Amino acid sequence: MGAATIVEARSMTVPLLEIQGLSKTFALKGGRSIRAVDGVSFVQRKGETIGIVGESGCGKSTLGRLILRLIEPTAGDVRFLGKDITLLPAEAMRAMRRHMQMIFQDPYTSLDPRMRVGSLIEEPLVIHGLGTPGERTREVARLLDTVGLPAEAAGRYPHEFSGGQRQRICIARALALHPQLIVADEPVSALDVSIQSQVLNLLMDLKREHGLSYLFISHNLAVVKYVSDTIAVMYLGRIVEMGSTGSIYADPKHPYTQALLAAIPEPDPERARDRVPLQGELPSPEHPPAGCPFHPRCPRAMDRCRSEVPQPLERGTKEHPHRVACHLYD
Amino acid sequence: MALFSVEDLAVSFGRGASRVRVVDGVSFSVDKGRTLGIVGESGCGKTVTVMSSIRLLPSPPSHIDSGRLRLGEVDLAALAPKALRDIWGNRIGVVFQDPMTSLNPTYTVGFQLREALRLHRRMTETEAHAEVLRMLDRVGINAPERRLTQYPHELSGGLRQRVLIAMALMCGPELLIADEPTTALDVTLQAQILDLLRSLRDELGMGILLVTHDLGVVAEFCDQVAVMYAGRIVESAGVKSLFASPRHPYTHGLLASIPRLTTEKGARLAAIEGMVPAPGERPAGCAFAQRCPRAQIRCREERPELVGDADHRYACFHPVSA
Repeated sequence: MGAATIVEARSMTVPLLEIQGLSKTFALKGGRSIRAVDGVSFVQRKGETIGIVGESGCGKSTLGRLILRLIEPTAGDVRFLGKDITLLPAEAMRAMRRHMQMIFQDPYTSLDPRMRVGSLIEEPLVIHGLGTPGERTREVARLLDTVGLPAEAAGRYPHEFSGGQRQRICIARALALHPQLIVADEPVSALDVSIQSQVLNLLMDLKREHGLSYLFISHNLAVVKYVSDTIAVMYLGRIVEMGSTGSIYADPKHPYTQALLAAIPEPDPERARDRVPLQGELPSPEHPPAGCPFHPRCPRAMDRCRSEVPQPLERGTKEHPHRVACHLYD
Repeated sequence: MALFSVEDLAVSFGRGASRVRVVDGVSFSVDKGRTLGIVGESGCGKTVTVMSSIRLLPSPPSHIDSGRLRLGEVDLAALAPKALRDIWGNRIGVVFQDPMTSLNPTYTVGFQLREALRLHRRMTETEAHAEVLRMLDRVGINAPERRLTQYPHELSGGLRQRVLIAMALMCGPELLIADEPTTALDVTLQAQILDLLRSLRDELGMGILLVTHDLGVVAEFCDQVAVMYAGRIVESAGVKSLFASPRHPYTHGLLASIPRLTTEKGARLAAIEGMVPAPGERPAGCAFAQRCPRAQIRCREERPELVGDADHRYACFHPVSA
């Protein structure tokens, strides 16, 4: 997105999505619990793509599901186009979901194998009582064309398609209701490289043509960088760093973001390696460390990191906001 | 002389009319202290190639139709099952992708690690115990004593993969086969495990045969690369040469289609249109021809053999210029 578009988006009065203090604690057996998402706040403008990155268990998928209220938050609120959806009754929430759709990682398990592709794509229209049967059939054909599948695909079953084609079917289904926001949870992770780029190109085309906004959840930092305007890095349920894509990759501030970027194997054998390998693994979210959740693995941890939770600090500019939760910048 | 060499390997599955050739005419070799990466997408035959090359796939359903398989002076193709088992786990170590299914959930980690030493080295319990501790320490596991009494499900993904590497290395193999050893792991863990494998290779002088779909891992970790497509090697070269000047249009397309940290945001990614043909539906001629932007009539009629020099070979009539 160019600078002009950012300004334009700012001038709109209501952001697409405002998340404040969103938290989710899952209860386990024996009175134990896991705080999967812990006090996450951010604002997403219309047309903006936000990439959420982090490793397994950091809470990124839970965050996506909380935003769509596929699971209920323990605390905090989500405002969609200015309206607090955390308090909406079930009926009103269903109506609201027209505007917010989700695409999942596994195109093999997210389509009912007994339904034909046409019915799968038509289903959201039927649920929301939109159009006559004839109109819906035409709409299905249009959607198949949009995602690059032939019209006769409507009469076939999901198992007749490859992984990449199934992901296209899922995307067509998500587009059926003309949503404004699509939460895409690892949408290309299960696909081979040559197919992955086809689907990424499609997602970018759809964004341009339909003015979509994505919340793009992935563990792959190169993919996230490619699609996102803004990046949020999560670690143990918290956003540890968030900023414009350019500023996060050019000037990563949090030691975790730095380590994550350095660990990516780039397909370039000539690239000089200056990796400081991160020691250890993500601690169990059941027993998060005191203080900064990253301090046991942090090469630059100080005394206060062991006891005091760092708060997000704004360290960017007005044009390029960049906030980081780390005592090094305090 | 190569530590491990495979010549003209062909493998098929099924029987009678439904018998399908899955791997065809594959040759490669691994040198001592070096790493060969076999890279390709799902279904290209990379795992079948590598597992058949040490005769680890059960027959039936798999059949090795041809192939000379040599580990040093030993002809693996001619070995009786008993002699093969002595080689597996002893002179050849194997690490699989999924650390959860490669360990037996009903035995402690210590028991499973000692078993290899008792079987292959005929060590006593006490000797095996000491050797296991030494190896766990070597693969970077803290407090190894405590791990010995734990069961696989009590370990994290990273620890389990370290245990598997320790198990594969327990008898000091000359050749380590690693099939997607880091694919199930997060990037920071992947970096740790690749660093570990690299230092073990240098220290023990093993040859490594690495199977992966990840060109980033190949670039970082391998000396030589063989790219597979539809059951054949379509290009093989030293790692720098392959990434700097891929000659086969498939390799070229793969490298161009990966989003990299240096890719401009939102710029259109190169894509290889279409899909890999299924093993029973591979066309005559070049298997990549139907997806290839450079294909000519000859490509659809005649199968290209590997050409080029010893350092860089490719199976293509119309290669990308170097």
